[in-house]
Amino acid sequence: MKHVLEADGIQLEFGLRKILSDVYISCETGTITGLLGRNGSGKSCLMNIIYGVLRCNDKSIRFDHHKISIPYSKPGLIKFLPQHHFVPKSLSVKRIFLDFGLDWKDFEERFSESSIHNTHRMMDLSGGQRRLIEVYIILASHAQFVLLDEPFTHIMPLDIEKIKKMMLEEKYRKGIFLTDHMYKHIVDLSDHLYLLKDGKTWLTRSSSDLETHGYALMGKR
Amino acid sequence: MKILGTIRIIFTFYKTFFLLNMATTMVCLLLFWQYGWSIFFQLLMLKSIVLGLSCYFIRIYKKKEFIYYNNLGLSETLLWSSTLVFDLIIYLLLLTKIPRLL
Repeated sequence: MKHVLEADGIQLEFGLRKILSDVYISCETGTITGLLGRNGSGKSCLMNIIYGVLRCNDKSIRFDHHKISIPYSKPGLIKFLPQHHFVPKSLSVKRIFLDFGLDWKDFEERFSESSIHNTHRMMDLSGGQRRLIEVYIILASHAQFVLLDEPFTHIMPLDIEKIKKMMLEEKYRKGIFLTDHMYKHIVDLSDHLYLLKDGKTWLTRSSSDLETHGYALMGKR
Repeated sequence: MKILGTIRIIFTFYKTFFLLNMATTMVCLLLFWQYGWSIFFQLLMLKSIVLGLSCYFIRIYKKKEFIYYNNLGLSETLLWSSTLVFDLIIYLLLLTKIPRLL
């Protein structure tokens, strides 16, 4: 059965500056929905609002057409990868996998070259290794929807390809909503692609729309 | 099992300010044994101020880590209410039930 997560009617202002004003996002289970936009366009704010950790003037977040006020408080509904590190440094990798109910062996098999052991604490790992763990636990977690804010940042190219492969596998179990400045990966992966510009979302029909809206020069790929 | 898991996660959060608060509790305990019930409310005030300051600084410096707990289904309100109530109970139990050692 398909589920749908929708967000619209979001009004966000910082002082006199209007960040989000006319947003509509829809993400279905079984699909990957991408979000692109320039720096400061409000992509991360939008994700934080959808997840329920950023308050705004007005919003409507709906799951299967029913309004929900704090999505993260609904068990099994949604998980969020913020653009910053979010796992406490003092925790061991083993403990993190236990908290999220995940199988360490699957990670080991997928990312065998990562040289991460489950006895490592997060503080022992490099920034890229920490990010890899964070991306994995959110992507593999038991949730109907995952929000991924810059999942490819700080990750080495080899692991980016593995994460992309994992996303294509995981999308059959959940809905994936992601944003990243490495837009070529987003364009490759997304079934639906939105562009956030001037506080509004535009559903793009083709890659050339990104050029039309002044986001990227697609002809230079 | 789920309840045990939740308790384990809450204790992980509690550990972030455990040392400072336990040290405060110990100081209060020593002062209480020294001066008795006459300073009970002053000590309670001291304990509350330290707890308040802990909350303030954790909300600033550990703000990003709250997403970890949110992802595990625990809200900030639940984390604070459970840990602060637990800490105050421990404080009151130690103060009133432990016989004077000095």
